[in-house]
Amino acid sequence: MQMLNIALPKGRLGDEAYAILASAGYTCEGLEEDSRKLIFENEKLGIRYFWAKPSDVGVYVERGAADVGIVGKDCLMEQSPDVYELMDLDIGNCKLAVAARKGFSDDGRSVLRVATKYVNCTRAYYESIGRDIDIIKLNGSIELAPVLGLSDVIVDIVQTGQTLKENGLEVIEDVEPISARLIANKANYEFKRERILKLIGALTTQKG
Amino acid sequence: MYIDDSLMSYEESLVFSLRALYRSQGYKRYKMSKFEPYDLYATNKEFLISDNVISFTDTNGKLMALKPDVTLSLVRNCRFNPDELVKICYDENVYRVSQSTGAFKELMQSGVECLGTVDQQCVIDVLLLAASSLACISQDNKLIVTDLDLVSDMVESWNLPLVDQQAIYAFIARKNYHELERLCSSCDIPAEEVNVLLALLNYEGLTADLPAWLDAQGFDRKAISTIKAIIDAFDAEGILETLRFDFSLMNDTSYYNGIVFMGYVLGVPTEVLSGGQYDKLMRKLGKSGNAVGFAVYVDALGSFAKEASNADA
Repeated sequence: MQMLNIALPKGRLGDEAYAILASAGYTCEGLEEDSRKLIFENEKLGIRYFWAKPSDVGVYVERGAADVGIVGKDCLMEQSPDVYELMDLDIGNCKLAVAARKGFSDDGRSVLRVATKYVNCTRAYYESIGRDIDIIKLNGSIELAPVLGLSDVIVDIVQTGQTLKENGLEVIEDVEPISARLIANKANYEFKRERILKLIGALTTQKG
Repeated sequence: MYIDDSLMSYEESLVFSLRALYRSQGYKRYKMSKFEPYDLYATNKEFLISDNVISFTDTNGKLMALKPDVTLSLVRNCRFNPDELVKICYDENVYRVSQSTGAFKELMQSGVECLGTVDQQCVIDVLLLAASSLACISQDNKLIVTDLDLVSDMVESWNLPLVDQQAIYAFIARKNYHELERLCSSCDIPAEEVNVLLALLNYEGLTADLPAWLDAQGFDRKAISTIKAIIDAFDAEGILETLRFDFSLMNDTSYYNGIVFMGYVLGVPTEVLSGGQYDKLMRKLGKSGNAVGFAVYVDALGSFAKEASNADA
């Protein structure tokens, strides 16, 4: 049987995604064990899982190394890989939002300084509302930027809002709801379509 | 002059095979200039896969561009009688930005264009030729076909603002039906109409059963008749299993219309062939007559080329 290659994002989202896949019957021995191994196969079921950095899942799928993958909508919006977005798994729910120091108000008089690691999403959002901005690309601890005066606002993923609160920030605008999506390579979809459709069916049943 | 086949690279060999195939079907070779006036591409950006174009100022001060697309140049420059059928084949380099590197790349394309009195039979012949082109690359191939008008007629009947219409087409092209449903709901499109669209997009029955299914759903009879004729032609050639209708396949609806298609071969992660009817482009460029054609993306076959060179070694 030809293997169905599934890319999972390392971390909590990947663990949640695998739990759904496993309960849908797509189990793989050893995958949940704490090890440095990255590739796992269940030959009987004809599936091969591999762990990838969350922001790389789209690349593996677009380039066909993985037939399907699980990835956050934030990565899809930021990278725009040329893939099918087959299903909203309704896990890893959060939102992309604009946050600022408490009491901040954008008077629109000067260029807004925005710190983010989501450069493309941020540019698209502010273009859609016609606001002139200066993007400051950061790779982590985005919340620091407005606190230290590096930026006026940040655009980042917000789940519970606790990190923002602890740093004296608050959400001032919602940009986009985020959740995990099942994506597929367009070419591989044609040659493994029945198996991918069966996977979607099993996951849909699990979602209820 | 005798040329030893083994001296040719995979890409060169494929280009010659395709040229021979197209010549055998009565297509005449058309050689284009590398350069075109920049305004041709600037005014038809949506038709291009990438809207980045290499431009330069010619010695006479005119702004020129290295062609990023063959069809636009060919339609603009080819002189033909719209009351006749002109069949043209080409193999040309185009210059586009690579999605992976963000830098310009020279890409080889082979393809055909039919201009003038393009009728249903001509469209079917072009589809069969596309299938033969894929077979030149690999026997494990799929030709995915849609009738763009079935989807666009429905979406355009909703009279949505352009931004919502474009978002709907983008969701359809990505098979992102969950967000498509949400957007339709927020635009107050009647649920029963959305369900008809979703049923069309999700059709998973046998290809041979598609015309009867479309008829039962009340779709346009003329479109069904064309789809049935395509299925019958592929069946008669014994290659029906390589054909699949997928109504989520999209291309820019302001240039393309009717039958649009894409080809894949096993082992290549992207489409290797793309084509369709582009009567609307003809009108935009002020040309009479209709048109259909396709291009084979020779450069996309890197993995096949590597296998061939490994075999040589």
